[in-house]
Amino acid sequence: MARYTFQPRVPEDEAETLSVGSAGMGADLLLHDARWFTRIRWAVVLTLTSIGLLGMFWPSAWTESLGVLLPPCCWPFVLAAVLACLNVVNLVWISSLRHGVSDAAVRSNLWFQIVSDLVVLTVLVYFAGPVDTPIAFAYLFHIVLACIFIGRRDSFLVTLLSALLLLVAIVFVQVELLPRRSILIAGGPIGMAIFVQYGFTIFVWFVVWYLASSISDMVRRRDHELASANARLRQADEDKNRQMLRVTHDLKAPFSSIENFVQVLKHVHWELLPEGAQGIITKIEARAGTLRARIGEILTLGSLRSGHVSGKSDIPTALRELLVDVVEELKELASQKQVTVVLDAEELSVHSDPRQLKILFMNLVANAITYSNEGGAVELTLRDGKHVVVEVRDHGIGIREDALPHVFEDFYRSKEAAAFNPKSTGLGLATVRQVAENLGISIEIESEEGVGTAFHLGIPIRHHPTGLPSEG
Amino acid sequence: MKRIYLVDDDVDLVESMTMILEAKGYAVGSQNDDVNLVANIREFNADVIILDVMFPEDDSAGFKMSRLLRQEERFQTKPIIMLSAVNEEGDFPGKFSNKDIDDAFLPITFFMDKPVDHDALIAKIEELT
Repeated sequence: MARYTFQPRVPEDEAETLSVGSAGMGADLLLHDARWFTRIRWAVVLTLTSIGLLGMFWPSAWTESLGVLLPPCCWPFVLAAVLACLNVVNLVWISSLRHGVSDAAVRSNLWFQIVSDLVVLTVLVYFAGPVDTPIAFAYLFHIVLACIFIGRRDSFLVTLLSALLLLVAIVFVQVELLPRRSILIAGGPIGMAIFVQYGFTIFVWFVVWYLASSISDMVRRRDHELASANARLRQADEDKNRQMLRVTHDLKAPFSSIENFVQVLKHVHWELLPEGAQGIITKIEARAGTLRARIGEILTLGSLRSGHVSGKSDIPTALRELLVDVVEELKELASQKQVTVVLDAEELSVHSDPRQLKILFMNLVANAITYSNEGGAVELTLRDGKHVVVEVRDHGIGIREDALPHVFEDFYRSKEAAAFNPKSTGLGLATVRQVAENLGISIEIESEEGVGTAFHLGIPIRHHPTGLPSEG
Repeated sequence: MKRIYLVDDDVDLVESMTMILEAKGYAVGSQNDDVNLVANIREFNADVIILDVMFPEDDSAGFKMSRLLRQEERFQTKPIIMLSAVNEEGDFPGKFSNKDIDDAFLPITFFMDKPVDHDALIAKIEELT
């Protein structure tokens, strides 16, 4: 017994969140971010140079009275110079990356920037005092940026790397591989040290504010661009669908006219026609009818996809009554095939769209009757559970295991199905899938070749129409 | 001779149905729009009225025509058969059937889907007249 399960699509909002979280940003956006990082880095170079100049020219007695020791030597200049050199390397590297470059190439540059920044920061942390000052909070800037720009897994690596580098600095100081340094004077005036720490905390706040607000502005702009692009794509898709529906609809009228005039021949002039002509007219009638039916199916599927059929999808719907109607309407088809349709249904209701549900049931039950062997039976059961479960079971030709994943595709017909029912359009189950998609219905198919097929539908008791196509 | 009045914007359909109904011995009158509908039907003295639902300018014109006819006393019991592809082409596939006939909303006698099954239509006309 082969099985196949169809789950309705995750509503769009959730899907977008998942794709951003797992796949991250595109290469062009990452390239834009890499350029932004280089601009921020120039600000850091300027800050370090200013600190170095303060250390050289500011009267040290004044800062020492506050408990702060300005850098006694040239390390801020060295760090600024190293950062400036790295930034020049980055700028050259980024300028070699053109529009449309691969994601991996941009990520290599970003990782180079991240690792080099963290190493320079660790040197800065060491000179400022990894143990005695709150300077280690400066790693937060990198962690926050990484979280926003390079996704969850990579930003976790950045966090680990930061922790490791800080640990190295602390251990080197603790085991006296490096002399202990601090910009705070040990035993200095306690009151002033508090204000120095307050000043650093406020500095961290404002830097975080600047980073977060700049980034959220960028994200908002991107959201707006994406929303506009999405709206244009939807509009184009709707225009295309509308055009397709109009063309298909225009094709229908000539076939209806052919059928009508064939009826005139059959009702008015039939006896006057020779037997051969009668045979040809019967074939014309049959072909015109098949084509009209096929056009009807295309129109229904197109309407379901464009949202033309979708209306309110939270209408209280008595499922048993709906199934009774479906069985009644398919009575003639069942009788032609001498198939018995057995309905075993509890009185159950869901909040859904009865029009779309009827289209779904009509297609599934007609399919079950069509692919049953003569004299067979189709069983419809309706029972309660977490979802309302409807089962449509036939004892017909069944579906091959390798054909099962394809049965919901447009125009798909397995060899066996096409041989058993040459008139099939291959759109019935595509229509079923579309309704299931629109109404959040899950479908599980169990089938065994030559034994039969069962469709299990899980219908939500109340449909939340987040994933419905928009009104066309 | 029973008199049938057809209202449908499909010229081919009206022509073919006219031929079939005339061949079966009915007198047939017709129009392809709703202009002077009530007066025309009154003048033709129809025994049965056959209405389409969707017209180019209004997807539910047939419903409005049937309500308009029912407002006139002489048409209140006159058989009105509604033919429509509304179940395939309208905004509401699978929605309309004879269960939806309602004096206020759908004041007709019988509803049939297009394409027309002429034998069933003639049988229904015979039943109603």
